[in-house]
Amino acid sequence: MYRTPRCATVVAETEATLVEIRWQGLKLLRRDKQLSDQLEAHYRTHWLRQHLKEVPLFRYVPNEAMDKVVAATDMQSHGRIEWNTDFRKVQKLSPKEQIEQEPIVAKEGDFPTALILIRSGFARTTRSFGDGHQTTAYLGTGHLFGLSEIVQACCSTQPLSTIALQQSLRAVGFVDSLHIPIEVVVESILPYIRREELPAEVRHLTQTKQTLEGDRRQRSRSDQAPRVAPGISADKLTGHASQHTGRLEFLVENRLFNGQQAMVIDLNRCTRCDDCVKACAANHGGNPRFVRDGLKHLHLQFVQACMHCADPVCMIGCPTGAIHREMHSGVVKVEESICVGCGVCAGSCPYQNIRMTPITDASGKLYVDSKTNTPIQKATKCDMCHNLPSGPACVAACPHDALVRISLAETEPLEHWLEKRCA
Amino acid sequence: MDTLDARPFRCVLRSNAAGLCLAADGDRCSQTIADAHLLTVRTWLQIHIYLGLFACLAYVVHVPMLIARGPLECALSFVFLFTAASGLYGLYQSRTVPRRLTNLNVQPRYDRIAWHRAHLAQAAEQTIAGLPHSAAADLLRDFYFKRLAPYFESRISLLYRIHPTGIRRRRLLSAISDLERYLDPQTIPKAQQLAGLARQCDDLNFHHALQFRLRAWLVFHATISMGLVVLAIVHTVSHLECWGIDHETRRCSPIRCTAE
Repeated sequence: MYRTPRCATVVAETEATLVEIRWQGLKLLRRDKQLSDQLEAHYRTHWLRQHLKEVPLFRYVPNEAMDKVVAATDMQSHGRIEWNTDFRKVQKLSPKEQIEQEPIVAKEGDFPTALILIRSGFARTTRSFGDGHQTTAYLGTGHLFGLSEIVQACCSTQPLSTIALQQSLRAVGFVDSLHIPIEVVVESILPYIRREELPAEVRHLTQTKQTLEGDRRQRSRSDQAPRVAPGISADKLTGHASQHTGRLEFLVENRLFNGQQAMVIDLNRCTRCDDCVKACAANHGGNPRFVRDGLKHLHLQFVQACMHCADPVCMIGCPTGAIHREMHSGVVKVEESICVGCGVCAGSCPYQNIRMTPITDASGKLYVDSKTNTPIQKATKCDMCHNLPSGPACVAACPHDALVRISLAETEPLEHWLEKRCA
Repeated sequence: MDTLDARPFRCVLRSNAAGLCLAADGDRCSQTIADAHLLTVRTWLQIHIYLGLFACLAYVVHVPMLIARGPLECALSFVFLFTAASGLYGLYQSRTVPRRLTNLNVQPRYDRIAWHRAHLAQAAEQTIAGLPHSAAADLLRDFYFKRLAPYFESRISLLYRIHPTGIRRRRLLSAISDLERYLDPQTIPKAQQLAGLARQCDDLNFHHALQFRLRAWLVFHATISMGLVVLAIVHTVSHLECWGIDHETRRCSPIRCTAE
């Protein structure tokens, strides 16, 4: 319901009749408050437990404790679910104004009242820096906020009133979050979290607390680490990390973190031969699905090619469902036979990565509207060359290893890619 | 190549044939490779570079002097050395040019540079058209028509493409700076605007020159590589003609040819 992939498989135990409402229809139905409330109640009854169980940090929480967590969890939404409509206006604002107009989910300096789990959307953590706010990390689906402070409040010898949130959490566009009250976290969750899995900065505090030392098994917990820019400690944010911070700010300001298959070019290696574009054109009947142009940050260019977003807002308005996400690959595709060429997806894409182009038959002849005598246009975008076994043609065609398709939803892949090149 | 046994060199030539073919028609060949999904173009380029370096080493081992004797071998030596030098030059350029391009403020596509330049020329013209009638404005207008308009409208010279320099840019900016003392406060911002446009135009010219250099090199390297392949084949065939069958050992051997 929040443009995230399905998290469960439904199996019919007996013969059943299934009514599937496409989410274009569900969007209309949700305008009815009663139905909307009913859906939320249904979620709480049937899916919230499942959702919380899927959080790796909570996997050892027993059922009876989980019941208490489910009962106490509060669901909140911040920002506008159709955030793309405001994005172009927001982009015109200065970075400082952009941060200030973002809805605050939790404020720096306040006492932590709940552990926040991001259910969908994106949020950024910020710290006061000079006269403004500096982005320290961005969080996406499944990430937690406030755990360090809660552990500190629970274990520290300092008075509770002195424990405050070290950072603010702000919704970037839209964020849907689950808030688990601090007392429930302390009573029903913290005793079942391994010490090794706690944030590094508070791990030492738990050594004296027997309640937090239940399970001793060693296991890596990197998947729950917030996406902090490498080189930036969540505790010590110094000016030394300004370059990484700059990239982080750039990704957040332009909401590029939404991209799961973003096309990034290292301009220090790119000879501007355009072989990537030519390869794309060759694989798509002579019409390339991107141009080698786009936002630039230092030596990185974020090319205007479909990023197959984590939150594909281009799908919101499609009246026929022609634009959809493929079940297995996660690629956002336009089904040309269903596309009516209304251009809603192209208008909705906040990155202008979908283009309306005239379509032709096999002989290259344009299809023309018999009434208006104008060429019929349909939405075209990168399809990750799904018909090629070798993956995207643009990547395979780059002779200098300058181009990569990479997920920006995490900062690690990009950092690793850049580190590998420097090495 | 008539001084020593030609076998090692021929082996190198054979093994490097695929690599040379890559260079022979870089653009189309890389496209074919990408279409055929035979590894990535990057991998092929790496193979090509290493084979080229290995061929240089084999050449040094095989040929006692820098240039071999005999008309065909001499020509083959020259072509090989040119190809090797061209390859090393291309390797250096493809590693250094991108950084120089990245340092510029603009990142235009090669095929759009002319459009961008025309756009700048138009913007400069509009700036001049918007000037009021005054002595200072007339002076700036005069400067524009004499110095700036030819700069914006002229084609990029071959000399600049071969060796791009910032001399003309510095001269123009210096002239605008010198002119400012004779302008009034209303005209100075316009002069600075024109200076900015001239700077942008120079960046575009620089982009064009460097991108042209890479493209021209690729064409040269591909052409000369084709020549190398042809000469290497002729060289190999001419040597094979001298070979015969040793009836005692039943093996191909150049010894019989020498004996005959």
